[in-house]
Amino acid sequence: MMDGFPDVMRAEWTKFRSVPVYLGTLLGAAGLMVLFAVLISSGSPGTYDQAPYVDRFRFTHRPLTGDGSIVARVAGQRADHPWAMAGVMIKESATAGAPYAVLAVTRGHGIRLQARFTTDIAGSDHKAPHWLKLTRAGTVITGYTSTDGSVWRPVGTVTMTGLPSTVEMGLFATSPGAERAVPMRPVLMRTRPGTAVFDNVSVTAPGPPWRTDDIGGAGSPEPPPPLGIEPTAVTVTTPAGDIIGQADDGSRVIAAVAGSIAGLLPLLALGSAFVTAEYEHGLIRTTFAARPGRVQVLAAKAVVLAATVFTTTLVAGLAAFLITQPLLRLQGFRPPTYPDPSLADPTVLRVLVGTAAFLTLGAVLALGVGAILRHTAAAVTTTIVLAMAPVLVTPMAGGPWPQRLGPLAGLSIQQIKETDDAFLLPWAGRTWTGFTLLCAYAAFAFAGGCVLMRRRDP
Amino acid sequence: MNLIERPTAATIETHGLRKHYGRTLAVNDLTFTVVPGRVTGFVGPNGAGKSTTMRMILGLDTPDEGRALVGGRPYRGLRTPLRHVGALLDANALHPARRACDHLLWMAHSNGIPARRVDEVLDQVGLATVARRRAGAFSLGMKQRLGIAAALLGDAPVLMFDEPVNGLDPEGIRWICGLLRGLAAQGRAVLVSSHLMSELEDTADHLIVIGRGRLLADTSVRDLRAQASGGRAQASGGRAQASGERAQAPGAQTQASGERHGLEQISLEEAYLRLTRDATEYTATEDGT
Amino acid sequence: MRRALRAEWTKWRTVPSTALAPWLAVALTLAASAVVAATAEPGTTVCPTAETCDTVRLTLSGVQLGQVPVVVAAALTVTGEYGTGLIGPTLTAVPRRLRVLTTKAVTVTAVALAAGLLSVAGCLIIARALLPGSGLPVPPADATTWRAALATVLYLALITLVSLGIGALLRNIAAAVTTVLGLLFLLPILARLLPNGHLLEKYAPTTAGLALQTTKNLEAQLISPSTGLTVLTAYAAAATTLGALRFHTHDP
Repeated sequence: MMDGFPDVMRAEWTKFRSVPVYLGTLLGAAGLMVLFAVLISSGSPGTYDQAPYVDRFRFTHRPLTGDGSIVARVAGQRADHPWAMAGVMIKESATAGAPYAVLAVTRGHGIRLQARFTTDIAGSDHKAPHWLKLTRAGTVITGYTSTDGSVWRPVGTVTMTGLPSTVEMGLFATSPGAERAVPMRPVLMRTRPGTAVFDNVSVTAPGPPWRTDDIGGAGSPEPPPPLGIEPTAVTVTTPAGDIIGQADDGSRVIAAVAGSIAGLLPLLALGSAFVTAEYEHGLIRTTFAARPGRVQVLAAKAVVLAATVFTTTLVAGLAAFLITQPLLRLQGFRPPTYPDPSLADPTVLRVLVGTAAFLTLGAVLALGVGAILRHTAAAVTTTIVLAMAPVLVTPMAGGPWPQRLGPLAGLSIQQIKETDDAFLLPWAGRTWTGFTLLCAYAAFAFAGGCVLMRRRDP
Repeated sequence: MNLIERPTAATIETHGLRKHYGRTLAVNDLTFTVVPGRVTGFVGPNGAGKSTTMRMILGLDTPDEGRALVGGRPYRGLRTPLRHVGALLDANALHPARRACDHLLWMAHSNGIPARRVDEVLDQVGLATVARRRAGAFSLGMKQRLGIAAALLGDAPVLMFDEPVNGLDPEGIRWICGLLRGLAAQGRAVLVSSHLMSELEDTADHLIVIGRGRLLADTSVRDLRAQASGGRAQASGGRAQASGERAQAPGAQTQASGERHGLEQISLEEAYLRLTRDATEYTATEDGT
Repeated sequence: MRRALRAEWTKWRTVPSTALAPWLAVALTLAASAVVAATAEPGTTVCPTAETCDTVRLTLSGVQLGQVPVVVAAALTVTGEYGTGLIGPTLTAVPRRLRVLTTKAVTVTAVALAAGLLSVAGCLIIARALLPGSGLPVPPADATTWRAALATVLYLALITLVSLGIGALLRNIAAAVTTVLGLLFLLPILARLLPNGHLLEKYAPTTAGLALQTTKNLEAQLISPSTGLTVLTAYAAAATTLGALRFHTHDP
């Protein structure tokens, strides 16, 4: 079966390179990849364009003068992101960027004591429900946790020099998503509002009434509900928001491959058209007459397609990487926060080569679908809809599963920081899972094409 | 048949047609008239500009200069053009998933032709039994017949066929020659193009010969033979010898120079080849490469 | 014109890929809306709580999927003629090119409107049946609901015209489908990545289409329904004009 395969490949390569539209599509896809990388790198850094932090959340608080403490039990937390927080906070004032200290439960990282965008102390590995206490003595703030509200364990201490006498103290929640994640990721997931339910709220000294503010202008769909004088049970629902200081989120590498999804669609069309064009113009009969081994023909097409797409997209990715570095530095993505990435770094290589492989697998998947459906419009439409399914489905049904199960799962290979920016990619924390799934899809489609090609008459 | 307009005079005229494709001059100052009552063969080597000319007559391509008229009017100005001109340009111009009868039906609808004409023409071309089959399943010969049926749909006084015998078997070729002669006998103007003179030998009464976009001859078949034979009689012995060796067509007889009784038997094929010898775009060399 | 229209309709209904497209569109829309209605939960921007849930938009959202067959079929009515060489017989039968494109536009619009009406009617019926099971209120039978439903039908018609124009412009079905689906699904995502991309996202066709379906919390939308309609009309006009220019002037 394998003899003469090089001849078949040569024939398919001749067919491929003699159609200007095919070569044009390859170049066009490469051009789109580079273009988007450049455009994205030339704009504002997005997440941190106003200030070197993100400070957006809903804060239910009242002023505290002098020493005091706040105790609350986080009865429940509902949010998507592993770093979504719900807890108690002491903040200099109810404005974005003001110094703060928080003690909160998170969805995926246990209890944390954080302050001033730079300090992060890990507590026990508990989720809601849990008791939290934050005490202030002068400029020293201490956090305690408890499972029952009577036995308290200290988590840590932060010293906030320059803390004025009157501060704001209260309850808060965040719901990170697009904000925490790199602005260069295409956002398919929705960031849902995060809700934290507190009860057994008590403060050491009574004072002015509580108020609720959206810090950082979060812009909520509904106004905060009014509170009674001394509430003991509070629900804080925050629209998308986060409290985070600027840190390396992988932007300098992600920018290079940010346009890969733009290059995907033309390559899917190319993959399908490479086989359906023969059926639609009757050329397939000539092809099969010249070479009766039909599986050989499809395999040769797959090899030619894979080789050309992989080469082109890899070169495009490398070019994008090299071109975007100076642009990104100009935009403020500089050391020490954003160190210079190097091509010798295995992560960088994985992202660049993996992206080229992702696009190649997509094209081969499209080829298989084309061999199965034999009709250009049907094949191109089906492949694109399958790939874009998360875009359609996620806004309606939500959740990570549309992205995890579709061909776009292959994007998991692009993860740089586990759980952070990876939140926007499928299979957060598992770089190879989604990619392997896409390999399986492509193989399955190709096999289906082979089987049907042998069985059916053209 | 309920005619919306009276069919105009059955003629095709071209006046000084000129067309470039890129840098190639495909048609160069072409002027001729096709009149009713006879079959006019439109012949020339491959690439001579026959299809381009026909497309310009039908308004599919715009000439750079000159104009083409059907019944004295430009094609694009006709309200029901299929009733004025029936044309077969490309037998493969069909949607493979559409049934043959539906392919003719939409054409009929577009020009207000009654649906029963569809059945009539399918019967006339011998496709009545496969009318409801998808056109994609047709052989080349069947597609040719379907294209001919489409040309006949409007019962038009002017008919144009571009290479209609492609893909037909000998019986089919004989059938179409009979069809063409019959249509001409009904008083229609029939223009048939071909690059093989042998196909038209018994069918055409008049010939328009073009080569490299230029008009080479606009004459009756008899006159063309006479012209070619006359030229041959004046040729030197050596050249007559050579052309005698080249004449391979059936019925041709190689003659020594100067013998006039071979005049009637010079094949149209040879006459045409001599005429277009210099104008052939694509010629195989002697050793077959 | 009437005869040319009849011919275009005959062409549409005698080829499976175009004839079946509207039925597939309706089926996909209803299926998608059914899934949404059955599984929707409060907690999203569209549906923050059960009381403030925009159930009309939820139920009509299935059209985002259902639009695909109709849109592809619209492009096919033009690209299919070039691919098969059928453009020759078409222009021979109807030499006035603008008339050919106009009759195609009328045909695809009529089909889109019919499919749209069937779809939204079915979606609203499905909503009545399935939403109570999800604990969400049934869309009220008031003017706002009708407005959103009819606007959705209009959206379908306009986006179909966009696809027809792009098909006439590109003359190749793979290119046309990629462009139209990319415009619909990829543009909003890519727009968010670009600097000043919020403008691009604001005026994307999908954004406009979703705005048309929104009945609650209109201020949070990027664009108002009426502006959305204007935007979509502009897209349809631009695409059909460009397509008509290419159709008219170039030799086939």
